Amino acid sequence: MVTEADAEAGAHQPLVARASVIICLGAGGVGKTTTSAALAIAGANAGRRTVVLTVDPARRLADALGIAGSTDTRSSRGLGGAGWGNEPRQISGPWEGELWAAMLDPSAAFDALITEHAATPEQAEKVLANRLYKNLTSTLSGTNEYMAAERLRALHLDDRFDLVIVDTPPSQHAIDLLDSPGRLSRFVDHRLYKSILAPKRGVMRALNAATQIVVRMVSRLVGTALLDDVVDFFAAFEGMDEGFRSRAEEVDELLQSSACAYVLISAAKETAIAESTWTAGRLADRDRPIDTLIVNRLTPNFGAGLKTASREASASALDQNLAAFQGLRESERDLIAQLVTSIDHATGQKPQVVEVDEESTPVADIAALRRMSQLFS
Amino acid sequence: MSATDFLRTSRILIVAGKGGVGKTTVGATIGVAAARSGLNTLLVELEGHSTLGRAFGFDELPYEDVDLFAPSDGGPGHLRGRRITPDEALIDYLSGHGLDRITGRLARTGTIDVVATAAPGIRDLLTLGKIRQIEATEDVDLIVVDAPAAGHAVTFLRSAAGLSEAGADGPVKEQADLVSAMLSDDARCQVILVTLPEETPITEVIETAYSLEDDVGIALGPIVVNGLIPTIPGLEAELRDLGTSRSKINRARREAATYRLGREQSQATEVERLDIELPLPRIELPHLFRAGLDEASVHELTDALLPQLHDLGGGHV
Repeated sequence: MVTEADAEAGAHQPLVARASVIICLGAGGVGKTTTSAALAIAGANAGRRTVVLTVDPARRLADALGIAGSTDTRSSRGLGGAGWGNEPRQISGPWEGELWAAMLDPSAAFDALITEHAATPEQAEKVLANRLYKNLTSTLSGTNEYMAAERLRALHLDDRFDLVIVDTPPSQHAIDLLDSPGRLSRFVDHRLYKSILAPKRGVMRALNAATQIVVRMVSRLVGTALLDDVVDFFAAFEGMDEGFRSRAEEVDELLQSSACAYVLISAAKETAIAESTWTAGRLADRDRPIDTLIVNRLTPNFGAGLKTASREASASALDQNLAAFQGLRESERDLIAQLVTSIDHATGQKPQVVEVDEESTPVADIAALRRMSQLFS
Repeated sequence: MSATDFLRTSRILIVAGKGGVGKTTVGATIGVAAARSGLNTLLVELEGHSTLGRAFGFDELPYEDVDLFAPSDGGPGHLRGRRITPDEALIDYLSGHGLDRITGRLARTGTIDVVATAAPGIRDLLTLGKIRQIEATEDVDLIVVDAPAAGHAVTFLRSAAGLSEAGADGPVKEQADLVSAMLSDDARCQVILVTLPEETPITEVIETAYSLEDDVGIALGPIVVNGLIPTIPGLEAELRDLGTSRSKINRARREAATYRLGREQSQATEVERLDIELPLPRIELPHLFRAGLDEASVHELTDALLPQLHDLGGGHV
C-alpha cells in the first residue's frame, strides 16, 4: 500500500532518479530527440548508468552527443543511423553516473532479430535476401516502432544500464510504439500466409474458398510478381513465427509494465497540443498513465505579472514588444492548462509538468543540453 | 496580375513541410485565400487526426466534404473540406474493382497490411489516386492538399514511381501511371513547401526540395516561410536609449527587446541561407503572437498572403 507520505516522497524524487525505462512520446517537431538527450544527461547526473536510444537525431545534436561518427546522419534520415548500427557508445562527461547513446538502425535490428530466430544460417540468409523482407522496415507501418521497442527491451535487460531512455520514431501517431508488437505478430501470424503455404504442404483442401478469393484478389491487384515475393517470404519465414510471436509478447508486456514511465512531449502550439491531447487519450485507453508532461519552447518569461503598456501603436516600441511576448506566453500557458485538464480527465491523474523556455538559439550543443537537463533533475 | 492568376496555375497544390512548421495552418490559409479570390476550393486532409478542421470548428473533417468557409461578399468562391485516409481510399478502390463484399473482412483481418507490404506504397498511391479522381470528376477550381509530414512527403509522392519499379502490374500499375502523369504535369500539380526561419527546418526544407525535384520530378511552387517575427520600428533605438536602468520593468523591457532582436537576426541569417541554397520565390507569413489557431488567425494570415500571391502572378516559378 502506498501511503500519502510515500507518494509524496516519490513525487519529490525526479523521474530520472526513480524510473528504469522512460519512453518519450510526442508529435514531430516538438523537440523529442533533444529532450530525450537532456533527460539522459539528467539521469547520468543523478548517478544512473543511463543509455539513450535516439532515433534520427539532427546532425548538430548527433555531434553534441558524439554519436554522429563519420557518416552524415542527415542524409541517412529514414534509413536509420547508417554507419554503426545499434551498439551504444559511452559519452564521457562530468556526470556522477554514466551516459551512453545509441542510434536506432531499424533494418540492422530486424536483421539481428531474424538471425536470432532462424533455425539455420541458411534460413536467415533466405529471409534476409527476400524482396518483401527488404521492404518491411520502410513499408510495414509499425516496424520501426517495433524495432525501437525491441532495442528498448535489449537495453533494459543489459546489465550495463539501469536507466533506458527511448526517443520514439517520427510516427504518424505517437502511440504507434505501443501498438507495434501486436501489429507485427498479426502480420507474421496472418491467415493469408497460412493459406498461401497450404498447397505446398499438400493440404489443398484446407484452403477454403473465401481465402482463395483473397489470394486471387491480391494477385489481380498487384500482379503476380509481387505476390510471388509474399509467398517466398512466408515460405522462408516458416517455423520462425513462434519465436517471433513470443518475443513480441515479451516486448508488449514490458511496454505495459510499471517499469516503463511514459513522458509526453509537446510544444505550446494549437496543433501540437491537439496531437498531445489525442495521444493522452490513447494512453489512457491502454491504462498507461502519463508520468510527466514536458512542454518545450515556451516563450520566455520576461516579467509576467508586470503591468505594461498595451500593444497599441501609441505605446513605446519596448512596451509593444514586451506586451506581445507576455500575451504569447499567456496564450501558450492557457493551452498547456487545457492539455493538463484533458490528461487529468482521461487518465484520472494530473501529470507532473515541466515547462522548458525557448532559448534564443536552438539547443544543439552539450552545454545547452546540460542547461536543459537541470530542469529534469 | 491578381492572386487568382497564381491560384489557377495548377489545380492541385500539395502543401508539405516537417512537423511543427505550420503546414496545416498554411494549407488552411491558402484555401481561404482561394475562396476569397472567388475560387471554388476543396481542402483535403490526409492524416488520421490532423488539425486542419480545428480552425473551422471541426475536431476532425469527415470523409464526405463539408462547408468550411464562404466569403460574406456573396461572390462565387467558397471553401469545402474533407479527409482522405489510406484505408478508406483502399476500401474505396477495392469496392471499385468489384471486391466490395469482402473489403470489410480484409480490413478487419489485417489482410490489408499484407497487401500493403507486398506492394510498398500502395496506401500512398491509392490516396493520390483518390485525389486524382476528385480532380477528374469534381467541379472544383482548386484542390489544396495537406500532405503528410516532411520525411514521409517524399515517400508519399514517390509511391507511384516506386510501385512501377517494383514490378506491379494490373490495375495497380494503371493507377500508378495515372498518378505519375498527374504529378509530373505542372499544369495540374505543384508542391508548396512550408518552413520556419530556423536552422533545422531550413536545412530540412532544402533537402526535401531537392529530393522532390530529383526523385519525384514534381514542380515546386514558392516556399512559404512561416512565423517570421515582424520588425517593430524604433525598437533597437529605444533599447539603446534605455541604457542600463535596473528597475524591474526596464529589465523586462531590455530582455524582451534583446530576445526579439536576436530572433530577428537569426531568422534573417536563415532566410538568407535559404535564398542562396534554394533560389525559389518566397512567401513570408508573420508570427501572430498567439499560440491558438482559430478562424480569425487564418484570416489574418490570408490578409498577409493575398498581396504576395498577387505579386507572384501566374505561370510557373
